Amino acid sequence: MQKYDKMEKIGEGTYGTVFKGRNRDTMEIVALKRVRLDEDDEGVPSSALREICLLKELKHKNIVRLIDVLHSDKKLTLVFEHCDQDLKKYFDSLNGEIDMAVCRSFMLQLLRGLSFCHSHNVLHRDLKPQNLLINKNGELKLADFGLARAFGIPVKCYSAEVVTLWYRPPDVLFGAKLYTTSIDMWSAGCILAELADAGRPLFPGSDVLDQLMKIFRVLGTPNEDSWPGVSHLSDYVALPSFPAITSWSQLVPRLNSKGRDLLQKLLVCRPNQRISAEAAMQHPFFTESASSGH
Amino acid sequence: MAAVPSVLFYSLIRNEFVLSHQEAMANPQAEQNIFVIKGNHENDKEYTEVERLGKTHWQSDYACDIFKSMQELEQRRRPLKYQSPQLKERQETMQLLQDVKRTFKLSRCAFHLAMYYLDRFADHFKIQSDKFALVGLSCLHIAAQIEDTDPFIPRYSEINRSIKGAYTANEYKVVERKILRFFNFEMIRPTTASFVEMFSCTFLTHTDFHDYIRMLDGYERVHYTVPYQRFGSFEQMLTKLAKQLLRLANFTLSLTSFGNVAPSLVAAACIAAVRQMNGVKRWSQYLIDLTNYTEAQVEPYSEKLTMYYYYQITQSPEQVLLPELGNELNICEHSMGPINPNWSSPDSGFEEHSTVLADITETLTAGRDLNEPLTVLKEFVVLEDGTTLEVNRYTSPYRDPEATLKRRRQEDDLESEIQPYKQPKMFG
Repeated sequence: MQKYDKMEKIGEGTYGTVFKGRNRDTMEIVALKRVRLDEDDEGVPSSALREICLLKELKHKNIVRLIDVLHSDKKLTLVFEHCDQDLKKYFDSLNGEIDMAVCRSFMLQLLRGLSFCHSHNVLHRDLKPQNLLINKNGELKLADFGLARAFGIPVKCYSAEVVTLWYRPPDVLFGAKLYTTSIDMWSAGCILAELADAGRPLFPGSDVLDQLMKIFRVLGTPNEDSWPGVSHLSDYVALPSFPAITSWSQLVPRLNSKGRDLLQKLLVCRPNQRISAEAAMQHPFFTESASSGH
Repeated sequence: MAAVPSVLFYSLIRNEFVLSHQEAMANPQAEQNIFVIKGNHENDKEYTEVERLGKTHWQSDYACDIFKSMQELEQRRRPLKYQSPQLKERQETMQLLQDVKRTFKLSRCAFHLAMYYLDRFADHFKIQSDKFALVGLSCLHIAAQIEDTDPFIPRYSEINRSIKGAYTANEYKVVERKILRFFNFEMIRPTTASFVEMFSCTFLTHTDFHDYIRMLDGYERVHYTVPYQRFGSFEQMLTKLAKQLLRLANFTLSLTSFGNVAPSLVAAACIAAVRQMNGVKRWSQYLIDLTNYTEAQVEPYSEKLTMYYYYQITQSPEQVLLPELGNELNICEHSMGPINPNWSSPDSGFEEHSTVLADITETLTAGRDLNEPLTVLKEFVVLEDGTTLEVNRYTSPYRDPEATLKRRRQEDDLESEIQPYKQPKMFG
């Protein structure tokens, strides 16, 4: 009766356990995300419901494909296309060296997936290397939409507890209650720097304050002049005023000047000044020939 | 109404629909600062509502794309076949959902989406009358998960407590699964509320405001009086009209004949109706660009809405007919068949509508378009104080927009206090 054979465990998602699986008829390898429903009286958890409903509408080659949903009274199983690894595991296999052509390709695919989400009214809200899947063909796919939501109209009071600390933008760290696509663009910037540095995270903060300090030591501490309204944010704290660094080539030495320019357009403290995914895709960083990277 | 604060919230909307760049830059401070929601106006619910709507993603680079994708998505709404005879249950449940929505501060969009689910589900299944509210509440819970943020989503147990524990936890789970399976998890669909909220700060422009003032001045010179309210500022006028627009959007949920009309078109019709009722030019090139609809497309629906509006205001409150739902809607009940006695199993409350029933409703509703006159049966109702009122009754109850007009009028969401939920008769 069962359509899929469960194989080894792959990992844990924001909710539910992920197993490798195989379709009994077609022998297709899939990923099975299982959520138990009998532990609670609440039915399908919000995160699972949102992920399923969003992925039903988001069909794109840079977004993980939801193949099937099996829903019984005891458990809910999401059947996804299987990818070999995530970007985090890929980094671990690199030994600190990455081909710039690969870095560029992954970044462009990330932006394509993101642009598709944003133009379809969806924020991912939890971009990090663990949520970017990579298959054998070098294709990158956004996954784990458990925290994602249709940002609809209007964007109000999202929970501040979104986005893993290292990839969280300063406005959210300061408790901003209203935000849009810019939240994902900051995370994309952090990931670009991490890609260029073969997996060394750019701002690995230990807590909110440390995170803010790490960011401001690079970008300079924002003030009312550079970011009007910043001091009114609910969790705003006055921090030492660091100047912005002058040499980005020291921060991301392997990234060329065009790449550094894109990075600087992504990592902007003031959210409405961050470049959009659509505009970022047009950046010269992606049009130069592969040989000019170094 | 309190004077509207001087913050030019409309100037926050940095998109292609803002008429002039100069307008958009009128208050650069406000334009730059999209995050501050604190201030003196925190208690002014009405103001913050409009302000909140002003700070939408319309500032984003994707405004056009999002509108386009919403219009694509609305094409994939399930059509309503008007197979459900359970109008009485629908009315009662809509009232219930409105109360629960208010209690838990759920969004307007969640409420509209829940009604979309409920109508389609009831269209397909015949729901045991005592399970109708259960289905409605499950729809609202799912809709809140889609539209609202976590802190606002009540648990089933909390919702259930608000209706005095009418159902069991297992019943909610079973019904939820049934609904999700019925929709095949295609739950994200735009509603009239989605579009109306999107347009609520842009459907009136400064040009409209100045034309309006000029019209009033011209009228006053001749007649020494003004036909419409004078507003001190554009913001004041926008706030008033936006409130009416949102209220009218809620009202469209009662018009079941709008069930298969694209929500973006219903929203555009609401805009036209509100403008017309307030003496503003009904449609313009700007609105064509904003909504993608011409005046000819909008007209049949906005006329209907305007008609209801005048119908309502021409009756003083005590004259507005509020029939006891039970009496008026007995006409529906004969078609419901015997109630299934097997109440213990939550799965037992549903039955797919038979094709026979489908055929009947098909004949009742086939070929009827909006402009076609309805078949009316005149009746006289004697009220408690002895006065007699003429009541129109229509042959097709589900398609009968007038019948739904006689519902108890909802206070506007923006104004009304949060009221404790009153136990409806069906649980009593």
